[in-house]
Amino acid sequence: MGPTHEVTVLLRAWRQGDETALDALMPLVHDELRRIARRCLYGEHANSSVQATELVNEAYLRLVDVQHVDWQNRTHFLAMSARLMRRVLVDLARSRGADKRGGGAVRVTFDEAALGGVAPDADVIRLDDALQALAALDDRKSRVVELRFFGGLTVDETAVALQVSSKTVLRDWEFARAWLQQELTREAGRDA
Amino acid sequence: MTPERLREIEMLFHEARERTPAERDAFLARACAHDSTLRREVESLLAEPPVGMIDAPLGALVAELVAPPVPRLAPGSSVGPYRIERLLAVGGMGEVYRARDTILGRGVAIKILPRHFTADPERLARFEREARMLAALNHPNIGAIYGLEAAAGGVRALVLELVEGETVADRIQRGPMPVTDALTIACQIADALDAAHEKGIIHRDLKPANIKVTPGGVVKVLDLGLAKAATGELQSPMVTEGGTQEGSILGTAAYMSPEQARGQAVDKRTDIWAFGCVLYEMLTRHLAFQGETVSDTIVASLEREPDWAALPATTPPMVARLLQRCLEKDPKRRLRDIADARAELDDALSGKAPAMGLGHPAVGAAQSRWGRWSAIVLIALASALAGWAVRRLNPAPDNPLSNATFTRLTNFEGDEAQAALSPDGKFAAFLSDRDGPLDVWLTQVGSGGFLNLTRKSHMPTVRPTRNIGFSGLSWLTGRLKWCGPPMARGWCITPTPRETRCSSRIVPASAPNRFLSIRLWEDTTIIRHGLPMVDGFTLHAAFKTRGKWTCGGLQPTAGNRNVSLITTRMWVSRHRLTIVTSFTSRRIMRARAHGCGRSIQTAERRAVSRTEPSSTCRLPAAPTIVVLWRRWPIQLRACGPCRFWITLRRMETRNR
Repeated sequence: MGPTHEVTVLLRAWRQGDETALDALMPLVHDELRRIARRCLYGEHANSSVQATELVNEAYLRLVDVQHVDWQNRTHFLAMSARLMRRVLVDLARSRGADKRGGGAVRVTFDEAALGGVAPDADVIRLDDALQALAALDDRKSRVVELRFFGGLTVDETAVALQVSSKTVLRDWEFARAWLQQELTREAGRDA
Repeated sequence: MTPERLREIEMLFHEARERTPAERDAFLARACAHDSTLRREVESLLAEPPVGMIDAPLGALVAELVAPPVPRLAPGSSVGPYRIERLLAVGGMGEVYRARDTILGRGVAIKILPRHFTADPERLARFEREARMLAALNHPNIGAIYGLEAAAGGVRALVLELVEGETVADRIQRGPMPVTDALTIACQIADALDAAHEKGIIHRDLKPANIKVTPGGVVKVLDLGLAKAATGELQSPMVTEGGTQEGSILGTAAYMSPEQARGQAVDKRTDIWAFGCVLYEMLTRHLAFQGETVSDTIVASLEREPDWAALPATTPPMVARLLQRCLEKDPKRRLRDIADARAELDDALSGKAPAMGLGHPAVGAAQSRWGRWSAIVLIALASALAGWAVRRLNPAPDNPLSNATFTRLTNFEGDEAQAALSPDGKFAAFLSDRDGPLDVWLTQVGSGGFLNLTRKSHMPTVRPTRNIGFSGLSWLTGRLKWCGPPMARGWCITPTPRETRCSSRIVPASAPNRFLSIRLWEDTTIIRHGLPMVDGFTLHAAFKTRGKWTCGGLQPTAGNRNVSLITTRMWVSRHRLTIVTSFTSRRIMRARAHGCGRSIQTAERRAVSRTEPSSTCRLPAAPTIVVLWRRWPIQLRACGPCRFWITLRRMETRNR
């Protein structure tokens, strides 16, 4: 069984409610992402910016044998991949974070302040936690963020996937963004 | 929080957003009349910074997460010409290494930029542009950026000056700081900021953790301007990354100016605020604005006054006043220019201020003696200059320092003295005692390489009383014989043929028919390509008096004892730097000291401590003037040896 076919089977199983399929799926996706990312960083397109949608789409188009998938439509497929992406990234972030804490090195404040960012693993984990908190309060908003952030879907695509109007998606997005931003700030403050 | 509550907040959030900011307050006051918590929640959501992690492209994040982590660089490995020695520190996303520049043989700090940062070409390009600008900023109190290095595997590294010593934050932690120490450090911070502000560069993230004090007591301000380089024009580092910074967030918020906290445009007055915060903390060991959370801290800086009673009793009153002016919430009412802070601190340190009187207990006896001495000389100098300037206001001089870029030429351990430029502006020779007794050193401007001409050579040991200069012949052509093995970096030194009156010749091994002749001059001889000098007047400085530039020099009583002050005016005409000298006797100097305005004194004082042209020359082909500057350590209190700098100033054609 080739990897492409394997993924298709696993995705179908996951969609039908088989959570163990996801466990088998993630290392495959992970490896593929790694390969793509490496090519984006070091390869012939080393200087082109890496776009989320491209990455996601490329990963899945390579993994999934589209001919054999009974996806109702492309949007559904993208929504599915957004969720998978979120799982993969959070998983990756957790494993990386564990590595780093084991390193026991001294922290420097300069990086964070001057270079505009912090370890992305901490970001992803915090965002995932905040999204879970948001889902408990308003599931749709959480899904809007998942689709738009992790799936790289446009407002219209998100609207189709969730079967609501684009205006609703936009309002959800704006509010959820502000809310999450605040949650993340609070989290950071607590950690400090 | 319940789903109902969230819906309530959301409804108000959207309704408020549809209104203009002016209407918003009234709307929220009405809608949340009975629920102040609700209003706060909505308001804080409305005020959230517009850009954050969620808006960043996922691709960069994915790339960073999926890509294998940048491997730690092993000692002995190389990044460009830099050989890694050891890991200094690890940040959340990058490592700082101590490395050695294998070409220049000096220690550097190498900072590996995070992958998600280098993966975004636009961001990287902007960072490179900024870094280039910051690299041009050379000041002894600013940690220099040497360059941006691209290494194998897409790794980008920032090459920084290696600064030994502890940070001011560490120093504050260690224990109470004497007021004099705090003021001395503050002086140097102000000096660094002044130099940056003059070039239009704002630090934006000044805090004790960003300031280091070397074991020799020299203050180095680090990461100057990098905040902007990394995040762009409009974003303050803290607000943008508010949600994502670990640990440093509280540290940064405490030094953030009110306008920065509000996300408004910032200018140099933001640095003045942070400077006030740092000085306050050095004096009191407490943050000027403190809160348990980030928001509390920001509210404190927006609304509360620092605890002025916490200042130690020995704080000079003028310093307390200065702090109040630095920590004015309204930038319009804040101290305008960091140079004013510098001048005030000088006065406080030298004990010159009327409020303090001479010999204030906080200031050491030796320092006040220096202070008095310097005050007398400077008042005299200022008055003489002022009087002289009134007599000779024409022609209006250009500022010879505008558009000039200063590049540090030397940074040897020990003392450096007596530099001279070659007539073509391509070489500089100077004396240094780095390798023992004073030697004559030669450097090619821009090469970064140095050649010790007198070490282990046939040339006599140099006495410090000698001046050094190049012969007017510059590059001579002709045949010559090799003498001895080549010296460092492809140069060798040869005996001079009798027909030229040079002491020595320096010959590049690669082009044996071209050589540079060099000559040591006896004491009090005029340096041929230097500024006009009379009777051994050797020190020169540029002054700004009432917006006009001029320069002058002091000679401690030597030679003609009646003439102790020389003033020199310089201006730039087409392709030429003109210098006029005049004298005043010591008696006149004293007489004039009485009617001297204070603003002029401080202006002159700043200038004295700064730079002095040591040698200058004009390049024949291009309309460019090269000036070799001697940079004296600030003030008369010893802060380290002097260093030489070079500037290339492109001349503007005036009659366009």
